[in-house]
Amino acid sequence: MTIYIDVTTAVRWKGHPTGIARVVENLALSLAIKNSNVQLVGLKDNEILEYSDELLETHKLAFLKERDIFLSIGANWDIENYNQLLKGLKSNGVIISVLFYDVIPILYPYFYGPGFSEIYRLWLIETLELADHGFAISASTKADLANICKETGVDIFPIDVIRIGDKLPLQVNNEILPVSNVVEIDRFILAVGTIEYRKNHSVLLNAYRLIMAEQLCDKAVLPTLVIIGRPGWLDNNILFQIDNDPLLKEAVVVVSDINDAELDKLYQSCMFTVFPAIYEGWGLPVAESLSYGKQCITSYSSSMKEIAPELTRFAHPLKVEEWAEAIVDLTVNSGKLNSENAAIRENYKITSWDQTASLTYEALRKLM
Amino acid sequence: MAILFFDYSSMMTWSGNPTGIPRVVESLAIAFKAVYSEVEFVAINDEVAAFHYVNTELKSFEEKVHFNAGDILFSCSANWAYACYNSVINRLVGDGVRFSNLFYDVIPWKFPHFYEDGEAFGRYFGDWTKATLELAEQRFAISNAVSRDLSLLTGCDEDIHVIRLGDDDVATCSLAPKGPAGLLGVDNFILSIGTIEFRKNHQVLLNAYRLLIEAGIKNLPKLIIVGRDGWLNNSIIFQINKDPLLYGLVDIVSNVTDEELHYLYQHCLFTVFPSLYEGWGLPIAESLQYGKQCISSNTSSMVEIAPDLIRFAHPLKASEWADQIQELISAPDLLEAEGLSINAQYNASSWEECANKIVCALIE
Repeated sequence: MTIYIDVTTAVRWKGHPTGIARVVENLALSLAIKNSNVQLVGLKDNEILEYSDELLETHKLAFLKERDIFLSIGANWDIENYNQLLKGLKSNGVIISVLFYDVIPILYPYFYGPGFSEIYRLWLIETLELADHGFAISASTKADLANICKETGVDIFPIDVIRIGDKLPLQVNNEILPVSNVVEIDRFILAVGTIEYRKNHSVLLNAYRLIMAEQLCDKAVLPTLVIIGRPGWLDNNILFQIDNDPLLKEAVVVVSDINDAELDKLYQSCMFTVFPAIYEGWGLPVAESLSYGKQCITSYSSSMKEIAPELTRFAHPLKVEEWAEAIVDLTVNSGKLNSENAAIRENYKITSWDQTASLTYEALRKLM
Repeated sequence: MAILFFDYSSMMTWSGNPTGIPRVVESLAIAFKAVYSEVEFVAINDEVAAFHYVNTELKSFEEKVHFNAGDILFSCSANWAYACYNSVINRLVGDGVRFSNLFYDVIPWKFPHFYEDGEAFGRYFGDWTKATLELAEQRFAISNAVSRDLSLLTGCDEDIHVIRLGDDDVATCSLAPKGPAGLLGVDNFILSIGTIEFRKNHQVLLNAYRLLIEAGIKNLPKLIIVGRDGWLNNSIIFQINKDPLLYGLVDIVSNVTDEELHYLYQHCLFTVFPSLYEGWGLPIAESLQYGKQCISSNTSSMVEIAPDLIRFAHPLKASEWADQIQELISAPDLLEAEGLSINAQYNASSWEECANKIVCALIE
């Protein structure tokens, strides 16, 4: 019996893989390289083609048999007729396993442009009906799936929670200085994520306004807030606010296009990071911060509570005063910050993609 | 004998019921006439860069004004909108005319991001304010907060008369209250009046409601927002329509008539006014006139209106808004008692008193 992993999302992705494309590429390759009964496949013109372990198209059609497993881990709502394909496979006795990232478009439709939530809901409910088995990237996502199944009357299937692999620090030669002038800032805190409603940069701007208006800490010691991200959906015109608010102009910097070496350098030289997303399926920047040995203040919400609850600091995404307090606390108490960063370096266990792949494989083996 | 001229400019292009600055111009014009019948009404004619007498009924320009040295010209119009204004005033002041001005706020200078033109408008407004302060013999401000901000702008301790705008024309209107379509019969609601823009900060209300729902508070009253779409509001309407928690719980009503507004004030539980910054804050005074409690921001002029009667929350802290709202909806007796003490203790400010104070300072 063979495990077929669909890498369509990764092969269609242009440029450096981020988000789901990154998960697809890493997980699929780790699984394929270690296990001889794993075959990568991709969709092309409504046919399933085999792909090499370098994600190259082989022009060979895949023939899935009864009791084979089809593992789908991509952004399938973006792929036309995807569920038609799953239906066909299922009717031939192929076991369908699907990795679910989140159900956020259903919980928070306003985080996305008009229409997306409806498309996502249709896709999800249909997929839930087709899946024989599921993976979820967090216990939070698993619980959300169970709720959706309950609400829509779909029979729930077994779901295994897997922890996705951490992005490893590059440890590149730091002599290669990044282009961005941001690295010349001495003391800064870092916020990585698309500038969009969901990532909730507003609470950071307001926390800075509150800190300055109420003089919660000396303006001279307040670190610069460095925001890394491209503009996305409904971002409350964060860039305009920063450019035109005299309080923020001096205190906040936004960098939209950055390469991995620059990001690596920023993670290494920041004081700590902040990740105020309202809701997540996982929360990669939290894990990324910890793998660099940097404390992260993150939202007390959804999957962000699962990443390293003993190590990270939490604030409520809608409570600006909690962000202001935590930022000030880490800013004025360098002893606290140093010991928290030290505890992270000592205790945070980086998850490798091989570990993720092993857990995934074990779970799939039980389906055979 | 020196003549007192009242600058009616901002009302000249206004049609319908005045709001904002035109409303102050109109109310003060009437009150000036009542307390000082010799007052002459004039307005700047931007095309010919000169003041003309006006017919306030017809809003028409009449003959050009010939000022004499010692004449007094008082303005409470939005003069930054007229390209020629300060150069005309400069010439008049040079001829011995005594110019005085009422300042509403310096918010564009202090918070440029509240406005679509951002820093460019902020700088322009700051420069206009400084130039006008220099030209004016008597400077009036509508609150202590504005007076402080004017000193902050120039860096000097400016000599400013603080006057309180009248609000005795509110809630006394003879209009029959009329429920807006779709809201008739709804009587369990909180009211928020103000343009849906960054400065008015409706976002904190949506977040307060989200916090209350998260905390498991049941039977939340509807939040009815009355206002037109304005600058940088983070698509409040889209958020409400697409958030399963808020849809049906928060309603937006635009373009209400005076009768409808009257109805909404009469029927609401209380009002909320979470503006980030104000020069005054008319919706607070208006709410009190209707005997309705108001939760307002604890910044700028809003703390001056009726600090012993109203409730306060910090405009950036959604949890303070949530707490205040919850306290008022969970204790109807308390809400009623607060309404009663507002009725007993809030005294409307009279426009005539306001005009009298200004006139006394002008002809002193």
